[in-house]
Amino acid sequence: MIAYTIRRIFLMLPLLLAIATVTFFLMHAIQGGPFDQDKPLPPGTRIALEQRYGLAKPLEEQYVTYLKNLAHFDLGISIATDRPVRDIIGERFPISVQLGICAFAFAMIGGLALGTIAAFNQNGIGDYIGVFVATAGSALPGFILAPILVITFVLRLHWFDVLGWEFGNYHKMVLPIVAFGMLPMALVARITRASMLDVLRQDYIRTARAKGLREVRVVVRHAAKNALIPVLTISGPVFAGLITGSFIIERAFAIPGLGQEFVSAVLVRDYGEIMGVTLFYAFIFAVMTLIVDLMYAVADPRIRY
Amino acid sequence: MAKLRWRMLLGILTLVATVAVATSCGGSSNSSNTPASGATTSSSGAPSGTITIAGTQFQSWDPHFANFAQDIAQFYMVWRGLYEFDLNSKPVPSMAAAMPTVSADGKTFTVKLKSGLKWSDGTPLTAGDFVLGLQRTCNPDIAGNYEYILTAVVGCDTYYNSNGNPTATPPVPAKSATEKEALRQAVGVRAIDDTTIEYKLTDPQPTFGEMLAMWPTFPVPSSKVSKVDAAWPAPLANAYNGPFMPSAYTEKSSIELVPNPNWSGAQKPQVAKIVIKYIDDVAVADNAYRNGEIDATAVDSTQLAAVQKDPVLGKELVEYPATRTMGLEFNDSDPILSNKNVRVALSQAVDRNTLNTVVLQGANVPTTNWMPPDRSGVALGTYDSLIGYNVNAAKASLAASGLKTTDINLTLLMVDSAANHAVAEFLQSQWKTNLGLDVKLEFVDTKTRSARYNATQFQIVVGGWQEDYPDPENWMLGLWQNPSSQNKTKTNVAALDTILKQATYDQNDTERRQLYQQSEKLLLDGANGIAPLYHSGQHRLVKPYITGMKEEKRASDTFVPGDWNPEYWKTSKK
Repeated sequence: MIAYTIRRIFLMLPLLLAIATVTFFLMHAIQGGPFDQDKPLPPGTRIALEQRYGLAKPLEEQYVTYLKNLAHFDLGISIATDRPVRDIIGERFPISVQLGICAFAFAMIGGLALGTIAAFNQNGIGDYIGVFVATAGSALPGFILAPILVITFVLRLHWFDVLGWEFGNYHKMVLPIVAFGMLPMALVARITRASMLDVLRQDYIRTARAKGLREVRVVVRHAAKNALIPVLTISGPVFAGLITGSFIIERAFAIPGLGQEFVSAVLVRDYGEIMGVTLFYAFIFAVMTLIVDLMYAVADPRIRY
Repeated sequence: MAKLRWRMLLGILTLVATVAVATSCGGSSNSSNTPASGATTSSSGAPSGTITIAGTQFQSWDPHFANFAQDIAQFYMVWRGLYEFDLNSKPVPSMAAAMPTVSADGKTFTVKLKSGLKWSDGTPLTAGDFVLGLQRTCNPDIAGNYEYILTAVVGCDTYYNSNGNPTATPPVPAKSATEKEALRQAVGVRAIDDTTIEYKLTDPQPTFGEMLAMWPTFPVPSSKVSKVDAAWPAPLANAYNGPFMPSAYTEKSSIELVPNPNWSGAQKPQVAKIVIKYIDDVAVADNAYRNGEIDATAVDSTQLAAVQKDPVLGKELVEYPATRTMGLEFNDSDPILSNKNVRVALSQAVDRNTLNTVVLQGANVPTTNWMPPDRSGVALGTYDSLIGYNVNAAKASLAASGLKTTDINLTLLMVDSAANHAVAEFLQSQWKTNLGLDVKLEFVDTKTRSARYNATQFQIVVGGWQEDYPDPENWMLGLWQNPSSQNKTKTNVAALDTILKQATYDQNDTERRQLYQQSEKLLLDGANGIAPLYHSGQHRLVKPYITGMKEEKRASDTFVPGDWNPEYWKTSKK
């Protein structure tokens, strides 16, 4: 397993290089650059700005310079803010991580609970409630759910705040967590229900019950481990997706996270930030995928690397 | 063995969670809550209370480089130049002791500073700081976005272009460090003594006094920035000469300002703290205002009608004109739009009143003027007979063009947004109904639209101008002359070029303004490049316990009323 892990880590390098190359050239191919604006810049100013940010050089030279800097973990400068991209990621990412972890916890705890209750009460009231919540959570996208929550709980009831994120201040945490975590919670609930129903029909579960084991022991010792494998499969990408932030949720609650930063960078053609954040996201996803693959081997003894 | 595997699984999960939490628990490296050494509240009429407003994150904290209105609005809270603009948009002394002394030929401006000026860190503010500021804007490595307003200063353009141009044919080489230093010394600004600054111009620019009120001429705290191309310090590391100074800053979240104890202005700050919350979406800012989280904000234009009718918000709404005009911009070099009668027909076919009342919810003022009346002195409606809404006249203009409707293939290029879709569909329906023309609509993102506009790769766009400084010169010079790098509509009217040349250096202010009025008529007669649609309005919400905002409102306000002079703001909320 150690050799496999090391092999996977080394394989990340050509992956990140490929992503860097495709992103770099695609980025420069689309129309509009960082200095295009409604009020046209005087030509002298445009030339001076392009020289300031190294954009006056030929594209191939810019690409090679970028790769050389990348080898030293230098992600370049954000044109929009004139600050190192590494610093911006360092400031924005922790906020997205906090929100993402809280939303992940909400999704996993809520989803597992709902899915398990639904499975054990199949075609009963628990099942109907679980399926309803899961369906509603899947059907309501974030840009619909967030305003509904704001109108109800902020403007009408004044229970929570709409602005910002402050870890530990529940007034500022509850609504973004619910808005962000609802969709993954619905997904986890549906997968848990389906998987649990499948496992509960297995012979070894019938045997465990026939032996007279208490239901709690049947679920925890025998059913849960196998039922959780599909949940484990999706947890890696879900976790990575949550901790990398959401443009919609961060914008709806004015949270200065990485999700909103990345989309803004694309809209204003901030080349430095687009490259840096894309590679950072790619790295996060590659690491999370590796962790999930390793966890398979731990959870299922039949899997060997 | 199974127990061991589950323990390993638990261990991996714990490790991942710990790393994730550890990375998220660090505070932002750019934030600080160190209180500044500002004025403290005492019991006897000292600054009190906190005002929280909605704003947007600045792109650059460097006034000699910056480009965007949201940056400039914040600069005026913490820095001031030799002059500032009063409520009538006239420059009045700020750091200067009096208005400048101008030589007979109009090419030398001499300014005396007030005595005893200090930066917020206690160091003296001298004439040398203003010299360094102007040199900084002209410096090629700083690449100041507003260097163009200093084009009349001797040597500024030459210094600015001294990095050469590798993409030119043939390439222009960069100057050496020694040559660049010589060019810096040759820029037409010097400190005669610690309190006197002299500016030398290549030509007598009648509006130069206004330039000395603008941010590219702000002084540099030489205790923090000793060389012309040195990095500009971040908000909490800088020094300030304005009424307020930053005490805390978190990027993309907020900035907190407290009174500057060394502010030399007559009006001292009246609030203990101003907090600017950075909120990109105005709808979110409006929700925060309704929830009492902020005290003043802009109004979401899609909600304007509802706000106007609301019994509470309607009383808190402040509405006044902005210095911005939007209209139909035509590519005059296009084979179809080079025909003046087609342009005039398109303008005459648009009902500006309905556009404003129905589509824009009454947010703006319909117009056929290019310059706002306060700026030009020309009454609204003066050009209605030339290009205003008149269906019969529109049909006649189209007939006079000699083109059949089937020969006229036009595309309207717009930025993709909900509001723009409504405007574009209205215009399309007006041209179909009144002229029988099928104009296509094309929606793209902001940067693509800007790139195509800058390259004149369009037929019609909805665009306009936001004033940089309060003078008719800013509405005409460079935008409509031929040739000019700023003339993206390829407007080409010889008489207009002639009159603008005359106006640029006319030292008689009355005569100069009359020339600009004439130039506006030449521009609009024939819709040469532009057919104005509306002057923008400002719509702001201000809580009733705030004073000083409405009273100091200006057409050029960016975030909230009176944000150019926050020293007048007061709050009765504790």
